[in-house]
Amino acid sequence: MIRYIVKRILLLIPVILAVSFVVYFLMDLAPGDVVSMLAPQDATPEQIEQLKEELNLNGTLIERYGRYILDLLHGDLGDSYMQKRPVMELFAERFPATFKLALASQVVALLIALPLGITAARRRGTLIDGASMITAMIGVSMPSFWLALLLIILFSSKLGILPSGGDNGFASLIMPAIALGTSQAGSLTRITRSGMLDVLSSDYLRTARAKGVPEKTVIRKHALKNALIPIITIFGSNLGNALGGAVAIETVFSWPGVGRLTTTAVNQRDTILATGCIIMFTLFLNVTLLIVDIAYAFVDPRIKAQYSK
Amino acid sequence: MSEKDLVLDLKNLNVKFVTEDATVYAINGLNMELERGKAIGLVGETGAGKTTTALSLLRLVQSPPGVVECDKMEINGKDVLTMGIKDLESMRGKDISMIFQDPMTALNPVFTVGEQIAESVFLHENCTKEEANQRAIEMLELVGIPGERAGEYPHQFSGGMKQRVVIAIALACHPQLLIADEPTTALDVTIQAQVLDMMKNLREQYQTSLIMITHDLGIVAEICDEVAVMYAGTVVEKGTLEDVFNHTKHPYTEGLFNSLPNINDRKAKLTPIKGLMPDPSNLPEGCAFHPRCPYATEACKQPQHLRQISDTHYVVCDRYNEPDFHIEREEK
Repeated sequence: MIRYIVKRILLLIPVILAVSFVVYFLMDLAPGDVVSMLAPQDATPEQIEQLKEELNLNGTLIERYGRYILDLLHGDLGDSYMQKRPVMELFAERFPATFKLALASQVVALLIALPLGITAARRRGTLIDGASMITAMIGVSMPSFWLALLLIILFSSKLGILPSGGDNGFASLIMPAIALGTSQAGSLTRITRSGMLDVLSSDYLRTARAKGVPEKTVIRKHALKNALIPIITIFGSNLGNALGGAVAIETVFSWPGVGRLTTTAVNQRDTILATGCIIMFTLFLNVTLLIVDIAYAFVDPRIKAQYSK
Repeated sequence: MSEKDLVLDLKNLNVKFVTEDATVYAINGLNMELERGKAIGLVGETGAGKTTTALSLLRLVQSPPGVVECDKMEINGKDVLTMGIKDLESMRGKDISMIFQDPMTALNPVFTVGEQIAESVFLHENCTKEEANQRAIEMLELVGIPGERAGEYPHQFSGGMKQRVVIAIALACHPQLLIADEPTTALDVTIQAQVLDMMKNLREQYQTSLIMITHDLGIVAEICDEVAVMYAGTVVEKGTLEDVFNHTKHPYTEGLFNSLPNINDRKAKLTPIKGLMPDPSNLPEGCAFHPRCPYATEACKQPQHLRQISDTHYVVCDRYNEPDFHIEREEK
């Protein structure tokens, strides 16, 4: 188990190098650059040279990337060109808001998906099943920003009971979490349903019932734990993605998360900040997926047995 | 008739499965009585409705599509038909429990075997989790598995050991009535003998009544006091071991015995029963066995009657209306 975890963490190093390489070069290929954005309209060539010197932007692309990687290997993500502050600091400022939204939206997704998926599976082929699956389909198909706008119209403009934006306490978290969670609940519902369907006809549930286990416990304990592997797989990748920030939702709700930080950095050609943000995102996604893999072992003892081989 | 101490009293059980395509008549007018402490063997081909009978007793027939109708179903003196779900749940595993056919799939892969045995104890006996776990360990040792393996998962056990665990679960609360659904079918012969021996001992120890579902007449001879032969969802012949084995009356029972290998005459050809089990969604008129029966006449296409041969021996075959009718199998 420990060996497996160490191996996975070591594998992260080439992944991060590759990601940084791709992002850094793409940023350079994009039209426009940070120098022309920062320099005054009537700057002389000398002033521009000086600015490049200040921003540590002289030399070829390879040279610049080399310097970046060297810093990165020392754990330094560099300073943002535009904001003149360490990337780590900017990211750390924004991350709590993203983290909060990611967790809240996943809770919303689970609260919708588990009951809906389980009910659909238990009443397979009935009207309830059909209605649940259509609901899930709508959840998957509906763009989250559109739902966000509808929520704002209803709860902020018409009813005036929830704030339309910003991060000011629990009330402001409700709508973004619902908007983001609903769109992820769709896929989670479908996975819950199909996972439960596989399990519901199994002999061991009959054994449990024959022991006198109440139906509720049969479903929640005996069936759900067996159906959990695909559910946590989807849950994990949803959570990992949400940790990278939800650009659309953050924009609609003026949510101060890393998603908007990243898009702003890209728009301003702030290569250092953009690359840094995406490296952090890669890191969080992979750690989440690793945690999911470890969680498998606790859910299913047969998987645990394979790890120890 | 004197009051018998019946652990099971079942009258006119009918089970059908209604689907869009067809209605499958799985059990048709089945009667069964079992005295406390006795063991009855339920014998018949695959598809005769043995497992469905057992599941009906536990009220575990899936509905829909299953429809269970019955005049009387009493287990341990309790009317199972009118029971609410709470009472059913407290009856299952306590008054009546079942050993399932396939040990490979009957255990939940994500819980330890100890947990799975203890769950039953914890549900039915007024005890703490620790006491339940302690009892689970005792049960494991009773079925010949070291107690320290209680913390292991089903995939760490062999098939025979899994079957022992399934038996331990079924016996954990000392049920009055135990249904064993082909408990040895999935096991190899040496393990079969061990499991049967063990069940015999445990039954003597706890005075449990037993319904042994099997298609193996050898197992019946070894374990049971009575035999009920099932065909197409109904009992065609019922009696003590002696009655059915040595004074066979029903042509179908005869067919079953004839299809067994004879140890004294190893060159003899096996004589299987001709034809196949009828399609339960389209049963023949009258005696369901008549299309395969060598003694069948036109009269067999009429509804058949239960005939009492002796105090204990019953047969459903109207050919016995003719005074000199007898089957070929000799009386022993």
